[in-house]
Amino acid sequence: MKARTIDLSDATGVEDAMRRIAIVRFAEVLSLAPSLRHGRPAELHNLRIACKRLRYALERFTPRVPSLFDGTTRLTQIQDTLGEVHDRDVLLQALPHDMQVTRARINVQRGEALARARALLLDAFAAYGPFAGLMRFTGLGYGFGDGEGVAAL
Amino acid sequence: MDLRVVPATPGIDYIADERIREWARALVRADIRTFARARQRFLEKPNAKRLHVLRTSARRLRSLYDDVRAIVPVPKRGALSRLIGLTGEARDASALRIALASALDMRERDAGRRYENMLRKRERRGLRNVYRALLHLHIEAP
Repeated sequence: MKARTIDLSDATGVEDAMRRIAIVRFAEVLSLAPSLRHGRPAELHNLRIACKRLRYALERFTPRVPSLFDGTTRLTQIQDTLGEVHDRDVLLQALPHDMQVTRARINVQRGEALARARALLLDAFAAYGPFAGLMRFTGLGYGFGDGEGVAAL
Repeated sequence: MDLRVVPATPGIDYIADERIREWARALVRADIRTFARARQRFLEKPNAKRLHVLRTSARRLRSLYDDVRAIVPVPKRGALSRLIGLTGEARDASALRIALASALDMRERDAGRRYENMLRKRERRGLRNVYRALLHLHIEAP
């Protein structure tokens, strides 16, 4: 998925520019989060890339906005877990079909990694959870941890 | 005192605008320096660990380009993307080998080893391709 271009032309200062970038990148993650429910490989891959973009941006901002730090740590965990899912998706596509036992094991590993990623994301939205600073900074994500997020995942 | 004449456009703060550009330029310069160090280290000794560092620094730089390209120049973004594609081929082969080893059933080890050897070859070819591409890729900070 291509990164959305961010309009910084009328930002009022550096912090406002950082906020605009964080809002767009966080919105990309939120819009792709439902892929954790149906588990389609291409969309999960896009979610992983979106998490990575958001994390890279937040890591640049943490010297000025330290409250974003917990979010970057959690995004790393989610992204690593989605990486495990992705590697197994690629492996399942490439492995010969007669390797049935190995394929079954890979499928189990994939399911476990997907469940972990889902739990990591949902938990991040809890009150005082790792995304609390990010949600305050961007104004996005409220309600995801209880209502709409649970329904989406 | 700043005596520059700027067109009066409502809602645009030109001093803030220049501060944002300078902040973005500083971020780009820092990431280009990090990428240049990773490039140099990989060219000195191409291996999987240095490939990982190179790939991460290239992806960070491209991600920064995407964040700020509306306000500062982003040199050689296309070449950087092509390089990231090449590093991905080598990295995927390495990651798939590890994932396969964690799941391979002993009754299927012969077929597994054939596939593993193919992945090793792909990884070596990937490292060579990255090395060649890097020789032609220099990014100057704006």
